[in-house]
Amino acid sequence: MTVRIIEAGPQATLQGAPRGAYRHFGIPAAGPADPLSHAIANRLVGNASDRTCIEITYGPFSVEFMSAAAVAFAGAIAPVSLNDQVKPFHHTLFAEAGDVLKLGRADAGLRTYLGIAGGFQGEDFLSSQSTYLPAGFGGLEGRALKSGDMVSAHDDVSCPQHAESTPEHLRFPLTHSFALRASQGPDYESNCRTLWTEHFVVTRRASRIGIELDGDFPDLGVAENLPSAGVFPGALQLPPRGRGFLLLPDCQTTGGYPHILQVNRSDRHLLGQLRPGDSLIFLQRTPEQAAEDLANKQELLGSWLTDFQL
Amino acid sequence: MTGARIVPCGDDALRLVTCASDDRHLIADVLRNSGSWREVVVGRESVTVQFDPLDLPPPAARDLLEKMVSVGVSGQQAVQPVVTLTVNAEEASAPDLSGCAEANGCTIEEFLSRLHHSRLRVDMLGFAPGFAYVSGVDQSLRGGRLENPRQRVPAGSIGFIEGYLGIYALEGPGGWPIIGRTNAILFDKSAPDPFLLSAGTRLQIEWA
Repeated sequence: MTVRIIEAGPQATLQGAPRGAYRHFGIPAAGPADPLSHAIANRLVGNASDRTCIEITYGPFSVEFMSAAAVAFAGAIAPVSLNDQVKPFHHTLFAEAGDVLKLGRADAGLRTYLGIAGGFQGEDFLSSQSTYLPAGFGGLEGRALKSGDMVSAHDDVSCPQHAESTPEHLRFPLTHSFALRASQGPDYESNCRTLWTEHFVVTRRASRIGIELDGDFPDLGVAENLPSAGVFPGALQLPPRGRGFLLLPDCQTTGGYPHILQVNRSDRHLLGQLRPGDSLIFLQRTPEQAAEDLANKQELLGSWLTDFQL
Repeated sequence: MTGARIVPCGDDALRLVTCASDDRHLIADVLRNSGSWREVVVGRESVTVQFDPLDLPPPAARDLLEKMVSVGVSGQQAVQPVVTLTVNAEEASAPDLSGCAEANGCTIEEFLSRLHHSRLRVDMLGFAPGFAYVSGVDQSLRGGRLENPRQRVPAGSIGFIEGYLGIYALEGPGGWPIIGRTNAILFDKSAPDPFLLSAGTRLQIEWA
């Protein structure tokens, strides 16, 4: 199974399992910015949840099928058509050779995942096919997809016989306002309390590495040059006199700016859907409460996404 | 390990802070080999671990880390080879060099000479693939991070913050003042060992 990219949109990359346990070499995780939507796209075509999908950062996006395939979209909801016939989002679609599948622009949210039965094939680097653009590895030649690219899928999985639909209770609605549960970071100080009441706005400086936030940030008393230490996606860093920077899957592995909050694992998948102009509040949790939130959300997802872990 | 304390880093990570220079690589090896942690990341004065709160609730994670650390570590890192890097220091490759020299009340030549005569050693890799934190820089040289980090720093750039050099193996965002650039290939994804530098590598800087 192969598809030809007609239109790739602002940025489309192949993303599968994150590159785990290499951060001590400076290798970030990569992988889907919204792993939950990625898992749903895979589930709709009968794949294991970590198979490689195309991560589409805002449409328009379109592909032509070189052979028959089962595909599905999940994530930021945008109009879908197959040979100019309107098709449902969150639903398995069956395409024939020569068919053209199109995705329009989402009203809210930023990233849509195209799953294909078997999963797309990307270059393997350190046990992961996920594209990491800054270093040019994984995916298709380590780069974003462009018009004319041919992308193949594994054919070790038989095509699903029946169309599936994402259960209503797992179609998380996306708007332009986000509330993310978070815990204190290691450099949180008493005057950081305002972070729990302030509204922040995503600036235009937003990528798979991180998202800059505009808003009222506290004036930290800490030294400007903290010793660099390990950081993970979900960290909110605050450069001196700067704006906050929220880290995403392609973020650096260590950092020296104050790390004031950490978006909890239960809600980190939402970071991939924040787009410039969206507003955001942080909801305060202790690590113990966060573990409970995570277990609850995992249980909700587990009924349908049996092999997926947030 | 004596004198280390544990600081939570959000809901699924813990940090051991104020770790002695060599100890932290040894303790990181022990933690990594235990298989209990998703990631084990060495920092300049710390070791940060990420755990899975579904398997290991936060209080249990803390207890486990305390227990593993209290057992203690012993051993010594093997002596590493010397790598010589040729570095360009003309303005296009070193936009912050004259500012760094001026801030230290010395000429560019004096500044470069003091770096050349420093006993440099790769302290750790981190931040980005192949990015090397190099310790041993002449302690009398002062300087901090840029107030506004650059969105793009070219591959091979060498940054300076007091006590350290930071070597950018890849183009990327960065907050270190840039005082030179090398043409050496620091990261090669197709090589069996993709990294030219590793923790412990001794470095000699030659100015082009």
